[in-house]
Amino acid sequence: MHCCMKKNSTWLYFLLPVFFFTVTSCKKAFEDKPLQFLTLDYIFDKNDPTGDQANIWVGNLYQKIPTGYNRMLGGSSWGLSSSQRTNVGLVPLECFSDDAVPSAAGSDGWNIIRGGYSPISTFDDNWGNCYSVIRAANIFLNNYLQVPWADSSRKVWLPNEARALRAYFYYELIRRYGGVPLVGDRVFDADDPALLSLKRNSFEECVNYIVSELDKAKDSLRPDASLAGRTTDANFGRMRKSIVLAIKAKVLLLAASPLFNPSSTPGKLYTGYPSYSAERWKAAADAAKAVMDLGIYDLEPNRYTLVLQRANKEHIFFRMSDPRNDNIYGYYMSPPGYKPANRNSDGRVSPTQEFVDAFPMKNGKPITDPTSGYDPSNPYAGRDPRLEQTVFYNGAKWLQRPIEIFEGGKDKPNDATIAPVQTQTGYYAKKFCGNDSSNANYSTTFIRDGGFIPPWCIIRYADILLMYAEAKNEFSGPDASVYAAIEKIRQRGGLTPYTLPSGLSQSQMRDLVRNERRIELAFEEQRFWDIRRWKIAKSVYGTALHGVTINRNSSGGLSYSPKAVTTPYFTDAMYLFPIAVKETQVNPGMEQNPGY
Amino acid sequence: MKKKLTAGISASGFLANLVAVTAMLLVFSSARAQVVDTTKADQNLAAVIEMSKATTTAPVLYGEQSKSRLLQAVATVYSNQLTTTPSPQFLQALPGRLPGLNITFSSGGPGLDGNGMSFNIRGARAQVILIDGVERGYQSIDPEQIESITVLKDALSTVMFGQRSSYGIISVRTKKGDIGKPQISFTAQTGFETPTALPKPLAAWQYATLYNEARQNDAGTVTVSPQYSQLQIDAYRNHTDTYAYPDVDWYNTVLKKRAGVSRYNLNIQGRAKAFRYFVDLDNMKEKGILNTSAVNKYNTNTQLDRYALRSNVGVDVTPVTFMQLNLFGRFQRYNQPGGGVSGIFSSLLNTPQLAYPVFNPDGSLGGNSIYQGNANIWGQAVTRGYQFQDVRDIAVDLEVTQKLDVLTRGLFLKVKASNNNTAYYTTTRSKNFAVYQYQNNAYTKYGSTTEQTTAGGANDRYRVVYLEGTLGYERAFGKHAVSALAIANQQNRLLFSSTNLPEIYTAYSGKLNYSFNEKYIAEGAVSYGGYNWLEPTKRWATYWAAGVGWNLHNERFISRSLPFISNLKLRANYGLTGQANAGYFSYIQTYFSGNGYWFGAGSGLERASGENAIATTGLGAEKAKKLDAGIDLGLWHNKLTITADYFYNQFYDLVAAPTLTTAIFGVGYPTQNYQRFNYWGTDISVSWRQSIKAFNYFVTANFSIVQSKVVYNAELPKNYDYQITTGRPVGLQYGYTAIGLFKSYDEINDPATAVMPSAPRSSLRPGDIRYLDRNGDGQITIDDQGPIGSTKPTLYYGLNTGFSFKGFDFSVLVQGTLNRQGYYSGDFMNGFGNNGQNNAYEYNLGRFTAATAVTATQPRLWLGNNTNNTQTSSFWLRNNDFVRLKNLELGYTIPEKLSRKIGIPSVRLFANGLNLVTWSEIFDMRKDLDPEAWGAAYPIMKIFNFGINIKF
Repeated sequence: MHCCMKKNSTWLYFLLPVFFFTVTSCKKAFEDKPLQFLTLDYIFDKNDPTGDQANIWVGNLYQKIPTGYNRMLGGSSWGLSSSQRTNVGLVPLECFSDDAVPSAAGSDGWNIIRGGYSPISTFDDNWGNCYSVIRAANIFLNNYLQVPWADSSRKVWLPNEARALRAYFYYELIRRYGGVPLVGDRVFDADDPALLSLKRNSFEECVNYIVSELDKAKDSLRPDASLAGRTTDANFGRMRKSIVLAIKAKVLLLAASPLFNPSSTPGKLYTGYPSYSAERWKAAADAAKAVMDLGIYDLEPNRYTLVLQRANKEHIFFRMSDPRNDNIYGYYMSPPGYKPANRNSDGRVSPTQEFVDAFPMKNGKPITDPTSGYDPSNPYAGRDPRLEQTVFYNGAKWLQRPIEIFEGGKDKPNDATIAPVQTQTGYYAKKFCGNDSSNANYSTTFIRDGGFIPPWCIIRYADILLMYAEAKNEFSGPDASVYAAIEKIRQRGGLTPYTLPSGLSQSQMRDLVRNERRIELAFEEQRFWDIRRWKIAKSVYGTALHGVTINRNSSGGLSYSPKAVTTPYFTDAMYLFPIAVKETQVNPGMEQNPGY
Repeated sequence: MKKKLTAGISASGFLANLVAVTAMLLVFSSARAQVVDTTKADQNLAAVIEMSKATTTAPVLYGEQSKSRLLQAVATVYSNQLTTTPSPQFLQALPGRLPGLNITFSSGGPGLDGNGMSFNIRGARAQVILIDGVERGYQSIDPEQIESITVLKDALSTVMFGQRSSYGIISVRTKKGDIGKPQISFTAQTGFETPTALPKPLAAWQYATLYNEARQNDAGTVTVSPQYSQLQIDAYRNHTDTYAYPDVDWYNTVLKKRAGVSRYNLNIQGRAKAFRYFVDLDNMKEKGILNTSAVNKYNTNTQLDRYALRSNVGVDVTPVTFMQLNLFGRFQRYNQPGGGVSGIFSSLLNTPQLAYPVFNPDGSLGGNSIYQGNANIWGQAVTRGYQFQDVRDIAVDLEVTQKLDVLTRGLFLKVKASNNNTAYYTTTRSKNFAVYQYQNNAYTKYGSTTEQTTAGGANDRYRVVYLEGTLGYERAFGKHAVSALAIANQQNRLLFSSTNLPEIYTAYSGKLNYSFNEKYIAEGAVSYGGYNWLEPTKRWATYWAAGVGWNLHNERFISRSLPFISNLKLRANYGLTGQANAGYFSYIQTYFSGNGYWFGAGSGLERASGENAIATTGLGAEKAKKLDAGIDLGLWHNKLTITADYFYNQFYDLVAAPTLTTAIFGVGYPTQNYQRFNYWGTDISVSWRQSIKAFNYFVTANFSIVQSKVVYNAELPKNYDYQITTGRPVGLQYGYTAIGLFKSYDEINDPATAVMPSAPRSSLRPGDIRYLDRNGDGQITIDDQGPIGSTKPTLYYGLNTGFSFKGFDFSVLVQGTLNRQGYYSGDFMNGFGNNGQNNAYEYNLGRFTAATAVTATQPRLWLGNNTNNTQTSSFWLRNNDFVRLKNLELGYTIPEKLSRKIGIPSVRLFANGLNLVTWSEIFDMRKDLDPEAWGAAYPIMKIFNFGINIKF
């Protein structure tokens, strides 16, 4: 035994290094928990007088401003969806109005057109998107004072930018859903029971809150740049007084509109005001006038190219675009026979005949007027120049050839192997596509502003004029200021004469203003909301929409025959969006919109 | 040779070294072999030891356990059952062999490690595969290296694994060379593989005909002009002008009928005084089924080429000190076309035969505006350059066992350290090609041909360090026998290619097994496990398990009255196990900083920051309470053995997203521990072995039955009982119930017929799917969706039988599942998806038409989307039971007298196969599918293989 022990002592020496190895490995090569994670204290840094990190928190709020380029059906994102290069179903919002339908027959958009939407299958449901911006704004407002701001104006501007953006996102909510829960400056914890017992505020409370927030912010923002300064302004795109006033005009016009003034469902205050008040039109007119009176905006001389520059006389509120991306929107829109730069031309949008017919003749008379000079066998001749800027119609020249939308033409070949998607109506949407008839090729840089894609304009000066004219006419009838606002737009549009017949009644002027909005602001995400706001969607959108079939005979002569394209499904309930079923399920106090 | 050994560390150098080392070993070993008198007994010693090991002990999580005292539910297969499977992946040998383990592969062929492998143990998801006790790349191993594979199924067998003890473990052990005299074994085998099934697209003229039909169907009662005229269809059919009217059988153009596989294995094992070793060198080559072009000087086919080397050496450093050193190295290259192989299979699936010709008259690649550059499938296969992925593994395990009998008899200490490094590198040398459309004697170009570009880089690189210290005690005092273990171990996995901190599992565990008189057995185990990505207060948890057993055959009343009972044990155990399931330090609230917004007229990008999803404060490990009760029965000297286990596993605190949520919160909710699922069922295995003179045979069958139930799922109130998932099996499929096809417009327009608002009557056509209005509200809405899947228990089984007679040996494995369903959906099933551009298949010929209104089994044809027919519904959920002749081997050992004449003691010739015959319920619907993999995946392969094994 003794001898064995002696002999065995070698194992100790052997084990020793192993133990060392084990022990030394236990020493920490890494921190216990990752230290590279950003914390709230880092972002709202008590020791950084520049507040640079807090500043970029606000940048994230700006990033949430939606763009309208083909944003529909791309999932939950409001930004440009990466799948839109291949998904021909991604289309602008106007494809769900009476202005257009999606060209791709099988796309999801047709489900919306046919079946509408429901709490289970929502449409353009940005409830969560809006509340996430509101939460992010509230986090900023609750924390920015931790920063020892050296720049006292930044300390004032940034929170008010957050405040103004938060108000804008409430506007995005109320125009979809009516009154929604106002959460103030609260930042909820995940297990806060209050979250599941929130109630909808009345529409009126929401409007009042948004307006008061905008009023609070308007004089505490970075001053507006002069027109000359705008082109060099490094902070161009940030919230300014003029933007806040323009948003306020939008909100007040919405509040004055027939859909909410008064509530379409008596007794329900989240669907509008208890009773009608003409004063709301006045408030809307005054708000629009306030923007006009700033004197820093005007119409651009060339309506078509105004999107080319991001800083111009007319753009007020817009979403900046990622300059690193090609402006591929033009590819999606161009008729399928073009294939500019060998890329697919999708021709994704098919404007309706109703929309085309809304454009008057160049002399300003509607085509229904027997004296207008309209010729059904040559329907596009002598029309409002804006038609050619907005719609690709048969025979219009683009990139050095006439567009061929007659049956079997290059842009309507009726052959899925050549054009997997082609027009449903005989038209394609042209707005925001280059209009260079001298150039054989389409290039992505063509429509760029010095290399950038145009920003998505949410409010421009023409809109302000039209809002003013609408509200003023509703409040006190077609006075000279109403005439002036409309004529200014028609003049810029290229009508001769641009003047309106004198002595129009209030209702004649109403129709005229509405038509002018439709054609001037086409494909800018206005019509979809306007027909709801005016409560005319059921009559203009719940009925058959048409297109045209163009046949060319052997001698080249064209014949035009109208065709019905679809009859969208639209019910009274659909004036407001449904709230997703999840929201009403978890919170019995959350009332669903009527009819869903 | 010396020169070769210093050839450097380049890839070729590495191989040269391998060759040199092997050559040395060969010389060394064959020299020994000549001086040792190799008897027949020695040759079979490996098998004998394996068998004796298998009959007396079973591998358990840490070490081995004598079978008579085993209370755990474990099942083991040994090397000789694995090497009959001619697959490069040893896991392919497992389906059907181990009760309780359900393992499937969703693709085949040479490819990235794993081939879509997934497995569950007793119904619940499982993840952990251990190799010699360490979790590391399981791909890094060839079947010859494996001594045994054990599946650990119950609480008692896994509890010492700490924070990952809930879901069952596959534990692989490599050979250590404990079979006596040196033995050199050389195996060369080669064979070929061919897909078990490939989709069968329609001929061009049929496609055109059906396309017209689909188009007309979409138009309804309005007659539309056909897309393809009769003249065109005739041209497609008669192949009069295959440039203008192509009819390309793409599968046969791009794919070969079969591809080669080969494997060479050399291993040497033996045991000498104070020294035992197992050295293994393996080369495996699996080629793909892509056709190649002689123009290329490089290989564009898929191909897997693997060299694996293992050297397991054990040394008795002193009479009481044993050291085991295992070295492992792998060098693997996976080659594929420059654009990748997956795109080729999806193009094959989606491209109609009339899409475009392979070549134009001038020899250029065909295409058109839809099938532009890089689209031509032949081009994708041969003119896109090539890419390959290199994988390198190096692993070292060092284990030292010290007997501490000096302190007290039976005590020992073991220390183990393992370091594993794996790196994946990709080299891509790809290019693009243009295609041309030949029309009216003119060529239109689409896409562009580019020069070959080169790109490369490291992908996943990781290191696993494992440390273990064990204090063990094993001793018998008279009738009392005790074995005890105390183990501290830690696994540290660092993924270099991420910025993450290492993931560390730690456990302090103990186990005590006590047996009285070999009759009454009790075992208890406890583990204090930690996981560093959990919140500090939740990082550690204590788990335990305990079991009792009774060896009835050792009782007199049995051995006297029922002497034919050679083994009868009743056993049961129960325990609490856990499973960490938390994201990367998800308890810490994080904020992002990313690209933001473009301010300024010149548009400068400003960064943005914001809040990420809310931290998972309070999230702990998932838990399970698991019961296992089993019986082991052996009759007539264990000629017949039966093992049956019943289990009842209650999983709780499972991590899931909360349901009481509102979007007003404004940010992502944290996951929580709340789900509760139960799984219960039975594993049975029955085995019969008999020798009648020189004829030995065996029959083994195993069955596993699994049932499950959602116990708690925090469900929101539902309008109808059938929408509730609680109380129903886990993972049940929900959707609409199809009640046939609309036969006529009258049926569609009948006001009593319920339709979906999103698919109104005007859009419906005869032949569309009709759904059950479950709630009777007159329309089909989401409220009509209910369970459509099977509520029957899952059942899987294997039947393994074989014999040996004189020089012949034979074995066969049949494997299958019952109550299995598959959801068959997508463009692949409907035909003409993707706006009508996609393919259609022979199966689509069975579509609904006016003439087949009563008998049709498929909906009418349509182009592109169809809201009504593509809803999740019972129509597309099909029973998919299958049985495979999974594996078969026939061998012949040349009589020793003959082989001795050429100086070789043992020569065995063999032939074997994998996935040889498959029968599936899904064949009733379509025969061109494999029951386990379909669609755009690389097909599951059937392998025929032949080889020779020489032993010295």
